[in-house]
Amino acid sequence: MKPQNTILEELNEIAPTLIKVGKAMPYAIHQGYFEQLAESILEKATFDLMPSSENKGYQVPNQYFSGLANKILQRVKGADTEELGALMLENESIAPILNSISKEMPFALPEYYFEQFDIQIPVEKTKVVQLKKMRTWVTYAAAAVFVGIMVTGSFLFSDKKQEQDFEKYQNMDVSGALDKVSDSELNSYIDENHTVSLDELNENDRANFDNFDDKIQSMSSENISQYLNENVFLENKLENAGEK
Amino acid sequence: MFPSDKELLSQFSFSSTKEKGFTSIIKKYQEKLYWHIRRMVIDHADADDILQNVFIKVWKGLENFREDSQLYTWLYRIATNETLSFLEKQKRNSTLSLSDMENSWENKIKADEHFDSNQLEWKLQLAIKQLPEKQRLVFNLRYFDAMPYEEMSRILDTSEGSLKASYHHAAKKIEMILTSY
Repeated sequence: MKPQNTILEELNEIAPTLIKVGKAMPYAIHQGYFEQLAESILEKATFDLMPSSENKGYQVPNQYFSGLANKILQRVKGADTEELGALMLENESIAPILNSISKEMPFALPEYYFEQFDIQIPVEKTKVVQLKKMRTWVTYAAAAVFVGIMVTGSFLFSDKKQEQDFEKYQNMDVSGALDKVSDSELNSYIDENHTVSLDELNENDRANFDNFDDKIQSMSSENISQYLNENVFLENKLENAGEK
Repeated sequence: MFPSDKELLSQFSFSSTKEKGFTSIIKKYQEKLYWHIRRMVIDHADADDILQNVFIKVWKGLENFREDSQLYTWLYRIATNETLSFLEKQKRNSTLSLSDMENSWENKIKADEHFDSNQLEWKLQLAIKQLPEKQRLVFNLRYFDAMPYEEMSRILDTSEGSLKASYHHAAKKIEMILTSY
């Protein structure tokens, strides 16, 4: 490309009057021409591919051209034209008015909504869950150890006490201690606690056994042998009683 | 142009590119899902809340996503379920009667700052709101997203035949409403 000065010099040599003519375009174009150029070319290109409706040999579906602009717009936007075509034909047969309505959403939308749309990605929970689990186990283990120590300790402590008490009572001189207790105190203790003496117990045993002996005397031999067969353990007791 | 779903899923499967893949999935589908939700709930704030929940669920569930179904279908399914749950909850918590609820929807549409009662697009929105919920969902997916019945069937767990019947009923009803204005 020649520099501007060279072009002017050249022009001056060839046709000096042209230098005086301005370079502004005197032709008028309608507003927004360049913005709509791509779409109108595409529309024209598609239209040229179609047979003319004036040609009697070809026919196009009703309302075909009314939906054409929308169809092309969707194609430009990358929509599935095959499905869109099927939908338009479907609408044509059931509700043709739908093909004449723009599918642009009329609702208001905050400015830059989609540009600024963001999601707070949730924190990875897998690690947290593991940590939590571990914590739970540690807590339970610590609690179990603590309870174990407490229980064992209390057992050891109470056992020791019992052992100590047992030793204390074993070494205690009960007879000596009782000797120190006055008779009146002993009597009142016996009255209050309904204690039974060892002698009384032996006496009762003896009386019961005597009664038992009388009853045996009055029983027939057959009954006694049957009874003894059914209660073998009594045989030893009878033998011991006989020895006494 | 956005990368293919396969490429995005592959990015998501590696921890080093996981967030990048997820962000690209959001960028690729946010607009479609947003409008799918907003057409049902009308209110922008509600649609925004639901969309956030949808993508959080996607983040949590994408690792288990079975690639034998399309990512697009799976995302729509989550968005649809979230939207229907939201509407159900709204109905449960509302003390309004059914007719009052319908009026409330109409008022929501009319409250939009761009609302123009003479514009056919707004008349269409008012007519859609008169459809039963399920029919409205089918109509929106078919009419606005040009979704094939086969795909819709996977999202809504309904047979293709009944979806087609549902769309036809809805379209006829809407035409009737629009011509009566």
